[in-house]
Amino acid sequence: MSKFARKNYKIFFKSKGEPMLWLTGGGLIAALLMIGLLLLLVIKNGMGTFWPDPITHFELKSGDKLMGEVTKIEYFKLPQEKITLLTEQDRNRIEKNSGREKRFLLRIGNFELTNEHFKWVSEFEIAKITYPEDAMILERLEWGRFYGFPKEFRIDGKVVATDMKSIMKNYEEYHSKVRYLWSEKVEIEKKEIGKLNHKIEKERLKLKEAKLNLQKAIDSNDQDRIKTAQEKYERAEKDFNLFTQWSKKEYDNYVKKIDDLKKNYEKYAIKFVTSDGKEKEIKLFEIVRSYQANALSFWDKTMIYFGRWVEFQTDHPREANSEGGVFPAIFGTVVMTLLMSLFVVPFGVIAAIYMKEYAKSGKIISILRIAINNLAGVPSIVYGVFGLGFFAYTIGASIDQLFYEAKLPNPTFGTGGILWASLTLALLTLPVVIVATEEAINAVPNSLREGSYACGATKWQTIRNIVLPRAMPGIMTGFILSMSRGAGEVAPLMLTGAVKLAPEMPVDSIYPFVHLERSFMHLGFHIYDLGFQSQNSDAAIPMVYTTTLLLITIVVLLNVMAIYIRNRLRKKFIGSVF
Amino acid sequence: MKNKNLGRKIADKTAKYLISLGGIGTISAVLLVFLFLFWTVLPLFKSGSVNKIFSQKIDQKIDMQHGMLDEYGLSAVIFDGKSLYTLSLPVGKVVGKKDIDAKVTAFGHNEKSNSYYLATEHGKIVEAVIKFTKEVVRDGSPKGTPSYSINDHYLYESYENAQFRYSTNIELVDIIETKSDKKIVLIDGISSDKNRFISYLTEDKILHINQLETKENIMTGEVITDLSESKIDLSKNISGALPKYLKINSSKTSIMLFFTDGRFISIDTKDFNNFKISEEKKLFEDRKITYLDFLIGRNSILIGDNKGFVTIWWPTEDPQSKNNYVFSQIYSFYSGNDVPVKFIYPSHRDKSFLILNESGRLSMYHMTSGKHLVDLEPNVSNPQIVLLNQKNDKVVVLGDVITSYKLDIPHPEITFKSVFGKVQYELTSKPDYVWQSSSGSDDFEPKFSLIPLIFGTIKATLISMLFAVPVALLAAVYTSEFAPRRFRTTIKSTIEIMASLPSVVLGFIAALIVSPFVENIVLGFIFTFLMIPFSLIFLGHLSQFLPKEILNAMDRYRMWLILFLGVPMGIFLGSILAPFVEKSLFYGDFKLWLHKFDYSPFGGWVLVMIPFGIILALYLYRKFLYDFYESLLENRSYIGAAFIELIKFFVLTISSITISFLLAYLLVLLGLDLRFDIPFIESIMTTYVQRNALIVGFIMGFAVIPIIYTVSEDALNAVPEHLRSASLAAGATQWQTVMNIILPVAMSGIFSAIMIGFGRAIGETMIVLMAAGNTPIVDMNIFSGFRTLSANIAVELPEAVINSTHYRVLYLAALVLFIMTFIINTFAEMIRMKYRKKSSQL
Repeated sequence: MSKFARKNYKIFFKSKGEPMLWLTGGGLIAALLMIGLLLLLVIKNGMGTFWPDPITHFELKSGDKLMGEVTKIEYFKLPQEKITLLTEQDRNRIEKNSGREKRFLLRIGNFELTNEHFKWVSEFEIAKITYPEDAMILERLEWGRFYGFPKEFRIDGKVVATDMKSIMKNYEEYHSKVRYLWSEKVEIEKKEIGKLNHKIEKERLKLKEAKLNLQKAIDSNDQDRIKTAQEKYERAEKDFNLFTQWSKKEYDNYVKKIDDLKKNYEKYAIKFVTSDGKEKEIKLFEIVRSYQANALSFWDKTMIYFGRWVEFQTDHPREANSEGGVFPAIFGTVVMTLLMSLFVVPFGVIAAIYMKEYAKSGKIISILRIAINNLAGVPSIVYGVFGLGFFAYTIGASIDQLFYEAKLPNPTFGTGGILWASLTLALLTLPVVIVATEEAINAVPNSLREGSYACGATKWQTIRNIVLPRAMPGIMTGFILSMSRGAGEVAPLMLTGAVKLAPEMPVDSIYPFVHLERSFMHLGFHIYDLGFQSQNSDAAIPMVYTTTLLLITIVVLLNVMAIYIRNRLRKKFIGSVF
Repeated sequence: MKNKNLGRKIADKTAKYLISLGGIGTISAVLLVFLFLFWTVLPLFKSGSVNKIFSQKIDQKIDMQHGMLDEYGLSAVIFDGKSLYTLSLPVGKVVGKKDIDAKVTAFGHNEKSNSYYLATEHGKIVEAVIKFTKEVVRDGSPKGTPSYSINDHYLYESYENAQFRYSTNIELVDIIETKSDKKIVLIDGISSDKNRFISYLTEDKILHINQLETKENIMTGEVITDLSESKIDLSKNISGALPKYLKINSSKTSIMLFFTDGRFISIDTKDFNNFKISEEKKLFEDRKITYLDFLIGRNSILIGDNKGFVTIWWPTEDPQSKNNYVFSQIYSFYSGNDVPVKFIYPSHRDKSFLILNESGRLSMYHMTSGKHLVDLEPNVSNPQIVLLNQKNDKVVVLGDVITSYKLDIPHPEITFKSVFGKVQYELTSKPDYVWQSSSGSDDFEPKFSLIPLIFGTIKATLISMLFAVPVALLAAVYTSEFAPRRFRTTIKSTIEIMASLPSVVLGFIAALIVSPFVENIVLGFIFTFLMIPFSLIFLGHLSQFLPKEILNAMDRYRMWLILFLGVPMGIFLGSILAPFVEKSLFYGDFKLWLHKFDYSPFGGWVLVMIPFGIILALYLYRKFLYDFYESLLENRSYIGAAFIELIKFFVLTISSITISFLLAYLLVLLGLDLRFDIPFIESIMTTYVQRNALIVGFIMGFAVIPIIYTVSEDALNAVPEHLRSASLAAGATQWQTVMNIILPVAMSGIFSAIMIGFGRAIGETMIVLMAAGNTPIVDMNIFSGFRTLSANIAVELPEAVINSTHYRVLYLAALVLFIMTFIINTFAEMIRMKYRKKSSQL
């Protein structure tokens, strides 16, 4: 036995191929590791963004004082000639770090005073680091963050409180009230005046249409037509003048209302002193959120953390998208994706049924399969190009010619918009739905179909009552997968209607409520735009992470759902073959 | 009952037709995409068309020398050597005449400012500025054919319900008063808002250059003109006849003189106070110059000669000595009939021009594309000049009769060659592939070569495939054959989730996290990639020392060992090896080495040669040492055999490295440097750019891995179970089964997986857009940026004007992408179908 075995060792290792197995395993581990690391990176940075950091106060050796949040710490190589100029203590430390020096990226804020959002501070410059309890962080409507010590609370220019405690008491007393008044004003501006503007635009278009008709009538040289068009135009003009008078009054009304509100909330202010001794008065309504970062308990921090998450998901963006929330982007993504599935699911299912139940010859099926695989393989940007040229510039432009002539040359449907974007993505995700539905129809055992036919059902009845209900989970899978693909795709949207900041949402309270021609914001495009087009990119990157986290969460959840349904479906039908 | 049956039948039929319609309709969407792209691209390659608008006899005979046309092709100003005539073309009448007070001895023209420079015999230089105006008399939408009439020097254009009035105004400005009594024989000038640059040659062969600067005093509003003059005596250079043409180039750095017999003198005017003759030569031996003018932009000279040729010239870099420019012929066009060229008129819009020859033949060409745009057959007796308007859509041929044509040449600069071939653009020294679609300047010529973009696409794709294919295939093989069964679904689902990660996220990570991170540890990054497989194979050999029972049960632990031992070991080895290699081969700083060419290229060659070293070492081993190795294994104990295996591994490793060093040494001896002068491909690695092909390749590999993985895993799984069982039953190990049975059977499926991955990588947009630096260059350097077709479309299409040349070329880029992926996908699908048939027969 042992002799036999001994002889076999000559080929034992060779046939076992253990080193190669390690290599193949390495491939798998590498792939899994990459996903893991990527997700970890996004989760860590995305989750951490909103956690309130302490305020660090640096006293520099040069006498300058800086205050803010430390956002990054790194080591960098210091040139030798610079090292020699330092004190011995610094030199020793740097030598210990093999010529590298620690530096802090400090978010110093106070942009209107400093003209900088961030500043690098190297360790050798620092004389003293403190964490002052009184220092406050303000998140503001404009100019980004503010770091300072509160000095006075003022109402109507009169000082009512000077010590920390009473300032805070006043702040808590008035802040929510002031913010409420302010939000009322924004509401009026956005909703009421928005509606009014919309009406004015509509009336203006009516007048223009009447004028266009008149022009057409004159061109046609038909006297009767000219006459009626003339009358119509005059009536429209009269209406328009009346309307203008009314709208002007209405507008003045709103302005007065806004002024009243403003008077009420603009009188509250806090005067702050910055770390370098400058004074700055900040109106209470400008403050979105403020806290004494170094005096927070864990509970307070948690509340701020979740408060920021809520704001992130429900608020509109501020400060060139680098602050505030991404609600319009979430909304745009959801509306676009839903619209897309509205188009893609019926067509995808019909195509799959055709292939599986109706198409007969093998040749046709082969061609169809090649077509579908090509549809799946065509780069998404090509769909974008097609969508822009075909949907927006060809179909959209014709719609404009027919129905929105008065608005020309400003395009209505003749440019990128949510309808065209979702149609483009529908085309893009069609293969996903077709393949998933096909798989599900395949899984319906033939015996069921035969049973149905045997009972005298027609083909359509069989499909409707036997095949489709059983294929439903598969169709759902396709639906979900296409949604996940649609939510994550960016390149075609860049061409067909996603924008960095959409003034109006695609669905709102103004008739006809759904505005398919409007451009929209999209989470994926938001990431691209924030990370690459933002001026203040250091401040934007944390937001990119959180947006990424949000997008990945949506996409991964949708996928997990689809995979779960599919796996269940497979199990279910393995058992149901009879 | 019957009714119900009928209803059923109708429902059935309707469903059938609707579904068939929907199904086929849905699928013909592919065709629609293709056709639409094709349809949009097609007009690019169409040639132009001309249609006659009107023909009118002129009421007065003018000896036309030059002229200028208004924007609408309705009025023109004609110069006959003495006076300027204003012509109303549709009625054929001279409506105005501007006389110059003295005899004109020389004239020059400047299309950009619509002006003539006229030198009179009293030594005065006058600039005649022409202004064409259009006024609306009666507003309305013009319809039908207009009628024209003249009233008080105005040309009226009347439609049924609209009327317009055209007028021409010629303003004469005295600009220079030369004190000398010498006759001016040649003149040219360039005017801009405040400056004029005038050059003239007097009969005593002295070239004068005047610079005039108009300044307005802000306080008093007074206008002062500063004049500075400089001259050069050319009497030594000009012998015999005086030159016929004088031209100033756009940058005012050189003044060129041409003689009828083909002689040419170029004067360098970079230093205003010290002119020198930079070049003197004879352009032609046997031809005579009959007409000469600038192409738009004042950079290229068009020379018409007596043999009927129009040649285009500009200074190019002398191949012998750099920084020295010689005036050379770049393009040549033949106007036909072997008769002299009579007149050339350059377009105001692009690099095209009209040639009129003595036999009355009129043709239009585009310089850079070489496209023969249109031929006109003017049945005008004795055509003298031909004019084009600003918009390039009206041509007017003038002789005894005026004929006006509507011109429609949508895309003169595009030919198949100008998009896919090398093109020599204006002022460049050699033909090249360039993509540059827009620029700030007016005279800019867009450069639409798709080659840099296609090159970028293929570069990114290949690098990413180099990384993705091994990882994905190894992972697929391991999952389907060796991973514990209960993990398989989990692993597959995880990788499917990887496939669903939006590419914008990957792009963001690549550009803002990976590239700044890798920038500081380039070598470490590369070495980690080399060291991970090394340490895995090394650990595999080590594990053979374990008792046989444990080794046989390895499937259970191998994954964890790889994760916690193999990969960390690889990273560790990479991170300690990289600084060592950097110090010993790259002079301590890899990035400095990349662009400091006096350092030896040896280290770089070693790096590049490592794969070849490994392949060569394996080959030599199989060829010469395999029998020896087998004989060593004969009659060994278990541990002994494992030990010999390990030794073999080390010997192979060391010999691979030695071979790569030898190869590198050989290449250095040959004098090749991979940083700049390899034949054909120039460089493999040079200056490091933060966002480069290596990073994009890595992250794009990330996007492609799941696709290749899923499809090839499916292919492996689809290998019929009985083959597997038969092989194992015959005593083969799992590894042998995989290598000899499963992989060969699944090969076509795996191949199609690779193709599908390839197709996906070609079209990937966001990663490249964000992480590739977007520089459209043809460069093999793996550390440089690039631009792909898809990223280019994403960047430029939103700004392209609809139906412009740029817009259509971008559609062409999309079509190229579509066709590339179509071929790849169809090919992959056909292989897959064949494979499916084959495997079902097994």
